[in-house]
Amino acid sequence: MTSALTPRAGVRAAALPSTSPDAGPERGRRALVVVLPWATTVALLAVSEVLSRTGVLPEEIPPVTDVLAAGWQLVPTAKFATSLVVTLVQVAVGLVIGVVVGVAAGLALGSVPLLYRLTHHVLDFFRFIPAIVYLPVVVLLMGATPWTAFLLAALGTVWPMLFQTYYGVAGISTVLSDTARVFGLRRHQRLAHVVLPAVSPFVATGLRISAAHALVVVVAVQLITAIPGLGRDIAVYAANAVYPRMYALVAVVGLVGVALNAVLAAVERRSLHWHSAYREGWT
Amino acid sequence: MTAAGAVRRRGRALVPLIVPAALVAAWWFASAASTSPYFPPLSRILTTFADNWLGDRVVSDVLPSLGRMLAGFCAAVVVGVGLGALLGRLPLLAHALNPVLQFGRALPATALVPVSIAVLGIGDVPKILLIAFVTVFPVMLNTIDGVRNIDPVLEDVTRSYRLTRRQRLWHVQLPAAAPQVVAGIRIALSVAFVMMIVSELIAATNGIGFVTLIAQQSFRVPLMWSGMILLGILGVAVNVLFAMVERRLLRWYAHAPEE
Amino acid sequence: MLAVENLQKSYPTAGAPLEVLRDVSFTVASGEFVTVVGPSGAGKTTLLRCLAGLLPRSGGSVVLTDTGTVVDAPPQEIACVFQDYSRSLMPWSRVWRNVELPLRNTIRDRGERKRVVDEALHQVGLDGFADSYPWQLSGGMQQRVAIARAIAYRPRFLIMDEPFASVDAQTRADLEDLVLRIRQDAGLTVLLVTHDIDEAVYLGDRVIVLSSRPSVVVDVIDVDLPHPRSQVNTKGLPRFAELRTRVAKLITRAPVTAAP
Repeated sequence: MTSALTPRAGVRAAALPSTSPDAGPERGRRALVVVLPWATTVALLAVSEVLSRTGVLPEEIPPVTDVLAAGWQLVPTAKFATSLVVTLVQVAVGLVIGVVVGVAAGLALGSVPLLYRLTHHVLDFFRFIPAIVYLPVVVLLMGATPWTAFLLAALGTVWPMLFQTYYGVAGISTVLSDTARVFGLRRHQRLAHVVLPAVSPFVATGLRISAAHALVVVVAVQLITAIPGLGRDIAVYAANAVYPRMYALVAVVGLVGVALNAVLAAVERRSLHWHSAYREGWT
Repeated sequence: MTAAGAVRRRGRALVPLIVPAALVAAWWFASAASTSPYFPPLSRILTTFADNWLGDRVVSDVLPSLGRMLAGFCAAVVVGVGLGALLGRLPLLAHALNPVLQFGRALPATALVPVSIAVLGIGDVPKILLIAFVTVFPVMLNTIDGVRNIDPVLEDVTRSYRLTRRQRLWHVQLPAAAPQVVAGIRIALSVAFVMMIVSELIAATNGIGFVTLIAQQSFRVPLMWSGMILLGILGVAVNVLFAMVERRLLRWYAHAPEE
Repeated sequence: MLAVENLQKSYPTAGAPLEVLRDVSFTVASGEFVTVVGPSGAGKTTLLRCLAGLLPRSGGSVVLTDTGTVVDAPPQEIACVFQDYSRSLMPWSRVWRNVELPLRNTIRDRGERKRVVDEALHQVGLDGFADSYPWQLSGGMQQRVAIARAIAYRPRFLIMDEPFASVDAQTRADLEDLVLRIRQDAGLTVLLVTHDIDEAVYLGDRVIVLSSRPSVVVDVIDVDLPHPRSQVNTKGLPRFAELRTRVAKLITRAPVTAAP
């Protein structure tokens, strides 16, 4: 994850004024920079702990150590594992459906400009409707089953994927596609060697964005319809006032979000890295 | 412009409406004879829409919903931009708080709804606070990013012409950061909208989402559909309005030199 | 007016420090137009930023001799014009605001400021463009705005970093003459860094030739061409060609002082 002190491409070396060429203090400073965020986080948690224990914070916000203990007890259980897996499966299935439909539609729209011209007003309308809006009718049709989660997560995924894919295809320079045709590349070769590589960074970005949406939607569905999953467990603990466990699960869900984002951001960076090298050669 | 040209121009302006109009017409005719409980005739949905959402419910549900969302959103923008600008100028502090901020952004906001209910209860204030808390992260993170990444050439200019800190912030850093900040606010707007709906679907006493869900649970299907349509329209309207504001604010950005 | 003595600048890197300027010494007299040339990577921009007080030195001194001020931070007397003009102007402000902003700290009266801004824009030939946005103007015009901003600031010393590198040849000729005219009218002292040898000889009273990195001053050449300079006439003089060749030889032959 980028942070305030990660050097950005293009920032000149002079940005951090430093006249002494000594290596010693430089290395010490670098170590401090690495440690500082974690030290601060621990310090903040410690402050929260103190505030809870001294009764400044209400009992609905239990001490950090209680939450950690609850988490420690909870995580190894089979029940937790099931909830975690179920939640991830719901996200994954929704993503897969959304990606397949969205990318296919995006490719179609990008390749057939007429299609885009006809439909893009409708698409622009639907892209701003969050998936959660469809929840009542999907619950009505599918009931309180995982299919509600799959469908809504897919609905949340399909729009970013569609538009990202479309931007990717539409952005392929005409020079490049003309060159490919002139060299007699057949349709499937053009797809493999021109379209897919050009589209992949956009798809990677779309995937990262969609996964975050999907997780939000899946948790919401679990909270509202009480289908099995981490969201439902959180709601149950909340209803029964078992707060340490509730917070522990919220933290876990947060970590899932962080992990998902980190993995997909890495995938995106890798595809972008390839892409920018490709672009530098071809403007 | 000739008369024929004017007619042609007006005609072309209507073209974008053809496909949506066709879809609505298709829905109308396909559902007109419907006996399915899940898909009532569009005509009934629209009458229900008019009776409810253009009638009493404006005051009893629409305004409270939108009010909560806007209150939370505005609070988040003010706090997010303020804190973000501060942290953008104090890179060490921003770096120290980075894990907390990134965690806050990556955490699925919906998971916080039970927490908010547990700690603050059900009511307007808890909802507004929840919306504000969740929405602050994209705004703050984008503001930090924007304020941090001022063009080094402009930095040189402000320093060599000895502008005061206040001048730098007001005339250079904030306008330079504006595109990033506005992008963050745009994200925040959709987040606030989603949180508004979700908080009402989970535990509320009024609101568009609340009414829609109750309608679904009590099998008043036309009312459910009308609520969903309203939410869809609002979601789009909010984005379109914001896009207009954004275009006006960032007129110059389209022409700004690329980094 | 400006005395640079044994200026040294190194950047710390992951390995050994990178020495860009090793030992640069020269003086600039009041009212002079000095140009600095050197091969690519000679640290010309680094030199300029050290002179302008934008970059801390690793060694040596930069002193404004009239007041005895050591340049550690941007001094009041110096105004800069940068190469990348489009990025040095604020695209969200109109031209007049771009020129006016630095004046707010030195001229309290708004009317007086407006007068100064208008006059500066007039001097660079941009009357009537005060209400435009920078991005509505061509590259050459944008650089004129940057120059207007610099002269409105009423500096005693104008520093320019390859200001005409990014414009086409015709515009460059116009801007070169503009700078000469302004120097004449305002009695400014100017130091201009360029990679263009023709420009260095055409504009300068003296040409300072830098070696490549780590840089030292290879030679300082007096340009004894007549004033006022003219694109057509001056560049046609045999003396121009002689001086030009001399500078070119110094640059191509410039000893690549090996890093220790």
